[in-house]
Amino acid sequence: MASSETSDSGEITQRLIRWRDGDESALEDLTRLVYAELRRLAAWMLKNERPGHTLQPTALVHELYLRLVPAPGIDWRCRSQFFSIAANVMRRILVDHARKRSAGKRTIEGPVVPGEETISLAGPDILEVDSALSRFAKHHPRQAQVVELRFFGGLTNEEIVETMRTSGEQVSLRTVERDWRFSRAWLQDAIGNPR
Amino acid sequence: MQLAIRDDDIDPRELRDLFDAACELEDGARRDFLEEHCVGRTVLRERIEGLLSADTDAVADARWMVPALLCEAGRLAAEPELPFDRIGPYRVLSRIGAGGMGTVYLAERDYDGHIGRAAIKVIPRILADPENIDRFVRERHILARLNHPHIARMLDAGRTEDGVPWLAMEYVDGVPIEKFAKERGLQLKARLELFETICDAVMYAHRNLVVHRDLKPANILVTADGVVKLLDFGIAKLLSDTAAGGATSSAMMTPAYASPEQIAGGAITTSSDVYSLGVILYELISGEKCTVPRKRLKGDIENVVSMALRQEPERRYASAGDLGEDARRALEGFPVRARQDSLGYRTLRLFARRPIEFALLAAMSFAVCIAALLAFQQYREAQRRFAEVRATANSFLFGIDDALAGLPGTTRARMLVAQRGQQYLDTLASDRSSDMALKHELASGYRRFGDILGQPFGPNLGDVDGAARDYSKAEALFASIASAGRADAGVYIEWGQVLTDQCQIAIRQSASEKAIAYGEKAVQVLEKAVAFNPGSRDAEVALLRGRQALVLASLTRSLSNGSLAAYQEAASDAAEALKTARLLAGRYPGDETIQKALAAACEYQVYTWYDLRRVTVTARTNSDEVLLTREEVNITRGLFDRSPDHYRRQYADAYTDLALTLASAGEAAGAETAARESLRRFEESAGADRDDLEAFRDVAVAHWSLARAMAAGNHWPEAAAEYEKVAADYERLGKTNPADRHDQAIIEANDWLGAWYLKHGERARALGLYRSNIRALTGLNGADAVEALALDEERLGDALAPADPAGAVERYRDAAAIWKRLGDAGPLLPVDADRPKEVERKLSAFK
Repeated sequence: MASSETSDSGEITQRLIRWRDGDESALEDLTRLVYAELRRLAAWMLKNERPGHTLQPTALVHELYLRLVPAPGIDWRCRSQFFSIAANVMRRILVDHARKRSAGKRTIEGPVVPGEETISLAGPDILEVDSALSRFAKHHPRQAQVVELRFFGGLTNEEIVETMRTSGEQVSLRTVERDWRFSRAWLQDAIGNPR
Repeated sequence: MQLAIRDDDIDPRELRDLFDAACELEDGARRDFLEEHCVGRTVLRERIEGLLSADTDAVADARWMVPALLCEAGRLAAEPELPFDRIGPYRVLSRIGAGGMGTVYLAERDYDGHIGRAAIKVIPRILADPENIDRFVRERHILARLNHPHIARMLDAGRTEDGVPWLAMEYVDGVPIEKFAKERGLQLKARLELFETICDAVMYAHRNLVVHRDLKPANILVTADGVVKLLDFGIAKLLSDTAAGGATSSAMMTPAYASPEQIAGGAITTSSDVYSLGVILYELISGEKCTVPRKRLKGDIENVVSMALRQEPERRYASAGDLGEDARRALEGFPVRARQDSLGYRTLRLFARRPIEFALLAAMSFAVCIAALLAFQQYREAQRRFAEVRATANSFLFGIDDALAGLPGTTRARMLVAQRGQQYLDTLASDRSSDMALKHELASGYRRFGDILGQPFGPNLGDVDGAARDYSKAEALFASIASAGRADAGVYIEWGQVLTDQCQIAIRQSASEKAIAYGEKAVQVLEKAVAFNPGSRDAEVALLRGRQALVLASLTRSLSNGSLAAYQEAASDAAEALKTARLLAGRYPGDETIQKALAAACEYQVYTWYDLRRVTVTARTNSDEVLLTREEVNITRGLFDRSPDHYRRQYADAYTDLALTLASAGEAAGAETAARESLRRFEESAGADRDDLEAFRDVAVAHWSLARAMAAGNHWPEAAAEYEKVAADYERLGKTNPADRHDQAIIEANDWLGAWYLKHGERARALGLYRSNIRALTGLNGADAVEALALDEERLGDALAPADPAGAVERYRDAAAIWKRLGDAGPLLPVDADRPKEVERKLSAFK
């Protein structure tokens, strides 16, 4: 299943648009496509991993997004808008997937084999972040948006600035940086000290 | 939630601004800044300080450096991928399991437009020998033939281009049976119905010459609709043949469910599957794991389980179908095939030993192993070997702690200690050295473990079969030392003691011929021990014990064998033992052990005389019998006075014996006094612990002796009242221990009361009692039980005769058939000599 599906960016864009317009069923297709890409990336990571040689996150993320986002050269406005939708969808996909896995249900990867759960070596508990983020957004909406774009969308601070400006928020790079620092501290505190 | 409350009190913007400003500052400046801006607002200040602290952590925390998607990719990278997209004509969907001998995938395949699913088992290439793969593929035809609604079908097999062999089986979407039973809260009946279905399926496969070899709950799935399916039939054999080398054979089975011969690497037959089914049945009924030794189940089902779990394959149920059927019969209250041999006999209680405290047990085991280790150490200089041994010893020492930590209950822990120790000895024994000192140590070690295993663990009876195995190993070692001509007196004594232990174990296993063989050998060896070492008290006491074990074996055999010669032999064995006991008592006056043995010897002699008198119809009591019994009372009184706690029971028991002897001698008054004395003493002990069944049984026997005393004095109503008590007592005992349903006492009580009711015109009650006896006795094959059955059939016939001639005829016919069978096997006992003629006479009266 995994190997036979290729992600045509057109395909993904189409589905994103459908989803944005309210078609929930597009999410399942998207999940499959995204995970196909993730698996490809994972395979690449395995091939290129060498002891002591850490992979460069930024490069990898760009690699991934090149496949997912529409081709460069497309109108700024569209692209930025695309990012915010994409970030939101990614969040949704990962959270749903994590929920299913922890409930032991079947995911597109197949049912979870009890006792075979591998513990994430690095990385947060997606569900924890998601839940803390929802609470965070109540009092700090713009900052939550920054988190979503950066953490789930994988955008750089500059790209975040562009994206938010396109959707009407007037922010500077400095603002985004400070927003990110604050949010990160807040989430770290919330996840580290569950109340 | 506290957080919400806090932030609700705080202006978000202010919080952010203050944080932003503060995090740019150094420690000192930071403190000042916060003091300045958070005057009087401790909540705000604490919140900011909390965030600042988190900020420090977050900067270093990897989770914020890597976006979520990447983390997810990393997680996928860490998880093993599906190595296959396709296997044969199947599309692989996902992995559903991984085990010792391969991985299982869920796959699907298009069949003319509709999709069929399969579970595909693949064995790792690393295990597969190329030559065998062809055979693997060929032999699949045998398995593919199995076509049964409760067996998951084998669909296909083959190998991939890489040469990896695979098997496709019907995919069963279900849960393992024990999980199903638990989740659905299935009652006993439903569980047994499932079990019978399983046995049916196994039978079918056996008829088609396929043995499962790896039956366990994980291989028995139940779908949501309640349909049972057995998986992996015969796969174990196919795959083990395919796998290279012998290394995998141990991975091919699950030890908890594997039969002893499987574990030992011996021949596997349909009986091995029966064994596994026995384990599964036990776990299904009790909800607990089947440990060794295991907790006994209540009722006939325990007999069924025991028979399935016999060590020797040929002693188990001959077929899975028999097992399933017997399980159902146990449920419905019908007599089962697996039964004790003869009437319960109270003397066997004499062998109940005092349980060893666990701490002592561990210390004993450890000591045994250290002794063996030292012997080994002396024997072998080689460093390498010593290191190995020391590693084993260490793991014994330290591994135990880890294992104990997680175990539920000390019984498992005890078992583990014993198991480890035995494994350790086995390791040393496999060395095949000819060093005598080492052999001696090993033999002593095995003997010790036999003792440990034979101990009752709480309410259990101990692992008798396991003890027998250890004793055998010990005995073989002693015998080999002796045959090498290297035995000293010590070796002969120990050898004789092991043989004595084996005799006692065989008695508990109801194998009386084997018991006699061991007993006779024990006496032979111990006589040599005494000859080699005249004046050695140890040797003489060991010989006495050996003789006594032989007497018991003889006694047991006479009951189940039923020939006059057997009874005579038992009486003369008892006389020999008594003679030896007196000699020793004379030589070591006041010695407690010897006194105890003398009391027992008196008791045994009286029993054997009594039995002999009964079967030869010699009415008058031998006056020596009364004398001997009084001697028994005196001796035990002496012991009791010295240590009341240890000899309370023996002393009270002696009074019971006295009551019975006086009753049969016609001294009714004396009998009654003695019986009341024993009853009083036993009731005192039993009162303390309501749940102690042994104490309760003592009281029951005391009631019985009082009943006999009353009858001897012609106090009929009182005798009837006592017999009623006996019946009630044994009904309660029989609920938990099947052997008590056919104890000598209850059979006699029912017979006596039957006659009593008939005299008083209460026919229905009498019929009920005779029928109850007949039910309890049917299926037993000890001679004494068969004899009692014939007598009760005749009694029932007599009772039916006036009102139901047809019924009476049926009973007389049954009785006649039994006498014929007994008569064909050998001459009838004098006491029974007239019975066949009598029954014939009664039958002809109806023609």
